[in-house]
Amino acid sequence: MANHEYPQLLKNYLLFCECKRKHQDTGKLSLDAQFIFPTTLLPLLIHMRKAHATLHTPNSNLAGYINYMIENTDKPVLGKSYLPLVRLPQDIKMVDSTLQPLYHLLDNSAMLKVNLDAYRYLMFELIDNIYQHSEFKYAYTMAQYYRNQGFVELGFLDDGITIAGSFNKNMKANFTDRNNWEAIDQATKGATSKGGEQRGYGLSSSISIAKALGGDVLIVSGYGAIYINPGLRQPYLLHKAHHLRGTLISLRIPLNSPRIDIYRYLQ
Amino acid sequence: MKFSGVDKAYRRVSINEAVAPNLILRQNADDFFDELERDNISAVIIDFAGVTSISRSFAHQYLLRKGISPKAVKEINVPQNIERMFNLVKRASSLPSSRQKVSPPDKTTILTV
Repeated sequence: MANHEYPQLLKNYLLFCECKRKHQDTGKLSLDAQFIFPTTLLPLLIHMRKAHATLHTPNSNLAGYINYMIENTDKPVLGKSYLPLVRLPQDIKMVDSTLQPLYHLLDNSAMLKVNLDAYRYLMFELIDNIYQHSEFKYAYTMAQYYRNQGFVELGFLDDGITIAGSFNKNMKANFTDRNNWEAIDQATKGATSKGGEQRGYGLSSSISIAKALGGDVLIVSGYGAIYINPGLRQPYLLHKAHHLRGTLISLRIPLNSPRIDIYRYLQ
Repeated sequence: MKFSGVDKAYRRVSINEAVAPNLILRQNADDFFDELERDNISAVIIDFAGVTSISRSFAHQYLLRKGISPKAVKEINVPQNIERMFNLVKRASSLPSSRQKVSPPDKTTILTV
């Protein structure tokens, strides 16, 4: 399949992969784009941090935006349409206070506020999954709404053991690099690596709610990925160059979504 | 252990202050009950005043721990949205075979990227 046929969220992730590949091949981290979205920026910023690399771009606006994100990491700015990179704390007592700027982002947008319950649900369940399953050292979230383009994009990234890794470790499953996508597929349908009744609803219900809002979801974990929208579920096997050490979940949701009752999707 | 409204040996705890206004992580619920169960007081009133939202994961773990706690636990000032989430989790737990079976992968072409 040609790149132009991939869903936009996947293309955005592949843009990060291309930057990383060029960095590894040439020693220079560069990006020539007019604009980038959280799905690209989130893993890119982490890569820059871990590799102590500087991003080169001919686009001065983009350079300014990225520099702002880097300088304000862990220092979210209230009242903006975006949430700079927020690092999730290891201390679970600090999670709610760490997310305060994200609550403000939701509260300050009339369009997002219509579905405040839904956005909070998505945030809480996906972040709880990171703490429950990933064994992360670093985990980040960021959000931005695009008034002119009509959507909000939320991103969640951890550097943990991946979805397949969690199943292999806790359930003695045997997912290999060739079928990481199947572990993601099962997780999105309610399978859990923790066992017990009433577990495993976080990711599956979050996807149901995102779809009810008319949104798209991309999950990348290890050597697998899945893209989901209201009419499509497409799994991917990733080449080594596109492999992710950890898990990335991106949601892109239209701003004009009518209000939904989230409890319809939580049964 | 029956909870008595006239039982003077009870402790009142604000979960908003003990945890947070937004009850998010499953582990937070576990830690909350671990702390509650440190003393010998037989009954505890959990005050939900000031709580803004609750995740399903937290609600589920809270109810699990409440069900096996040696203490009698009673909630007060529970906001409507919190009550609704608790009721949803209780309903789901009471259904037989409520765990949905995970369907095998759809017969979709797996694309290599």
